[in-house]
Amino acid sequence: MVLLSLIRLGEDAYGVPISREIEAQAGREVALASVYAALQRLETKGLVKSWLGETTPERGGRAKKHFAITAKGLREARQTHRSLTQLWTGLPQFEGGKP
Amino acid sequence: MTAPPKTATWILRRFTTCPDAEVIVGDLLEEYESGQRSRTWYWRQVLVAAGVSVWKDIRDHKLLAVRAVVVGWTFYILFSFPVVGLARFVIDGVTNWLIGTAWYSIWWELWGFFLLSEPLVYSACALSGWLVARLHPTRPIAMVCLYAASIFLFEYAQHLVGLFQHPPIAVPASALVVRTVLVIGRPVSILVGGLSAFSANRSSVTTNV
Repeated sequence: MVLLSLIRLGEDAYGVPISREIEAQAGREVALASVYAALQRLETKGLVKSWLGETTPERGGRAKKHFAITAKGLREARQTHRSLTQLWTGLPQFEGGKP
Repeated sequence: MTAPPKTATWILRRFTTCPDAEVIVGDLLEEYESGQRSRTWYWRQVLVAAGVSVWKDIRDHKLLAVRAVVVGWTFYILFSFPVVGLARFVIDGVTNWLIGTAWYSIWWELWGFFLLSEPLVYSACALSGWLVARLHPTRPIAMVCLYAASIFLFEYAQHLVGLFQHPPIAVPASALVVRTVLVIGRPVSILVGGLSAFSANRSSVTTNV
């Protein structure tokens, strides 16, 4: 979910919009610390890159940490999408609009 | 616009050791000051952030965690048991002196022992927490939290065993409440001791919130 939110947000992705995007899509509150923990794992795997941005007064003078998906991350996301689509295809429980 | 809860921010800055701690503080401030989030939300975020950080530190430094628990328990036994023995010795002496006078009551034996021994034990716990923090300077808070949690589990188990052996009908309800408070008091004292060990160092990086 974090990776997909990054793709949706583009270059302006940092903690606040990422957590808002996940909340909007998933419909439940997310913990910022959990989002950062996930982003750190993704960065270690080379799927995400980060850089420190500008400081603003409403952040108490603290910098934003921006995130963006890497080429490797995009490949992994496409691969996962393909795999999931294949897995979903042909399931009788999800065809015809009835559970 | 209201400022975020200071205590929560303090907990966040103390308990989070990950490289993104300051970024998370900034994000929480930005989100809270947008006016769309409640104090409850802020507190929830802070507690999760602290928990995630402590858990990650323990998971990533397992040997250090084992050492912290062993060191903590060693100090706990070295400090706490003698002071309890001393309190028991003093109370027994005073009780023997009081028996036969109008001042004696069973409440004296119950409350007198607690009131004398627990402050001493709390001080011993705080000292052991302080030492654990000083001896694990790379991850002091996580190690102190783990040590405090182990003491809490031990004390709580002892409390449950005590309840089983002496069912509530035989023990005054007030004594049970006091016992429960005492179970929480020791881990809290350890945390206070551990947090005070690095207050000077951490406050130097504190910025305005």
